[in-house]
Amino acid sequence: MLKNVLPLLVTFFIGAIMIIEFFFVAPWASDISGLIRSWTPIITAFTIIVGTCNLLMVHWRSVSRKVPGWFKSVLLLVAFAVTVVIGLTAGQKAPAYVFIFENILNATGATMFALTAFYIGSSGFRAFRAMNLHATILLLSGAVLMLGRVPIGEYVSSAMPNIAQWIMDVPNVAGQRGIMIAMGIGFVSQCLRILLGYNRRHLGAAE
Amino acid sequence: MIEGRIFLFFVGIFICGAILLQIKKARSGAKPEFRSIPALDAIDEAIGRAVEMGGGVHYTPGVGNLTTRGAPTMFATMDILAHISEKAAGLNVDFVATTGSGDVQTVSEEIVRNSYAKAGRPEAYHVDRVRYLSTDQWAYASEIADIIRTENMQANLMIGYFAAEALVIAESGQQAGAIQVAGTTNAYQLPFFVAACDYVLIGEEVLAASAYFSDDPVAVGSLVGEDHGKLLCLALLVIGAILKTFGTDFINNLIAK
Repeated sequence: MLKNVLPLLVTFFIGAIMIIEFFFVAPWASDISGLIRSWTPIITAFTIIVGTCNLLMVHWRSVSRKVPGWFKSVLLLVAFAVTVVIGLTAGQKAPAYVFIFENILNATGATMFALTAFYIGSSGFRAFRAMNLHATILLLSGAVLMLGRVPIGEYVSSAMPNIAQWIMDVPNVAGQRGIMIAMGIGFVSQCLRILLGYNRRHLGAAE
Repeated sequence: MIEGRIFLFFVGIFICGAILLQIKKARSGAKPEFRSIPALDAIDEAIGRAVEMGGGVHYTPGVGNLTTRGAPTMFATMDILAHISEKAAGLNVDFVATTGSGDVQTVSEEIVRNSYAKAGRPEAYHVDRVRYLSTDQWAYASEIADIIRTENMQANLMIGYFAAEALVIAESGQQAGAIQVAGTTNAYQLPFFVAACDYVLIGEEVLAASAYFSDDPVAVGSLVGEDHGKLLCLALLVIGAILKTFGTDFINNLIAK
């Protein structure tokens, strides 16, 4: 009883406070919602512990069973241990800790981000093949847009930048707003079901 | 009430009222018809193909979490995860779900464990089934790319909240030859999915999945209620455009209240 009802009551109470704070001038609601929001990092910290335990268990299992690529799991476990030990003993401003962030984490992140440029090229090449009407429209509008955004487009036709801007401002904005309005209403529905306890999958209950 | 939110409040009341009314109707036996959503139909097809090819099924709900970024989307993806994991467990195909936040990981573990129990194969659930990767989007994306390639994932399902890492994951799946079904409520990432994936769920279609997969009257009724909300927005748009054309700012002023 308590296991099922208490989370629903807490959800409803907190949700109601947030809604009151958003629509009404109610300092008491703002105070409570501010307090509740300040708890979020604490909850997040605990869930990261859960996640980290899973990460370590998965990779430990990989090493102990010698599954293909197990050496990558060894690297992860060693890197995890080194980072945690340095962070806990020397602090987050220690040169070694900063080195790990700036020269390993940031560098690998930037490398992955840079890959998106190549992936845009390869996926765009496939998507822009004029195999049907939709793909042809995509190809034409994409070509006009790209030409309109670079100086050479103006040499091809002085109207090119204006056409490109029109594509961005009218059909693009219309489509985006349609998607966003429908999503907003979907979000309202989703939140209503959670607040009223109709949707309980996140509590471990089947629908 | 706070100035500028009065109209929004009443629109919210209308939409919530319409949803609750339709839920009540659905509970009393009304069965509305849905248009088919090819991308949702393709999920079962993708799992079937993975079985035929002797590969696995990978699912990820993205980098959102249950408290801030894309929270409503992430709640909706839990229903999708339940459907996919039940299907995969029933067909005895290798299944891996990956997550990028601790709270989603906790809930996902519970859902997948339940799915394997429901399929009568609780012994097939192990810690590898649901893997927490990283909150860092690039570490998360690179690990998924590795899982798809090295663990022979023939179906790559990415439905949830994605940011800039979306294309890296989708292209990795495409290059590995996996059938890909993607969907996100982040409108900025939709073009990348459209370009790189076989089937795409656009925006609210992600949220409609629970009604599509089940006959749950709450999900079905709320979907119909949402349509009433959309009709209201459409009416406001059309009337607003006509009035604005004739130089009247009535709707603009009403919305600004």
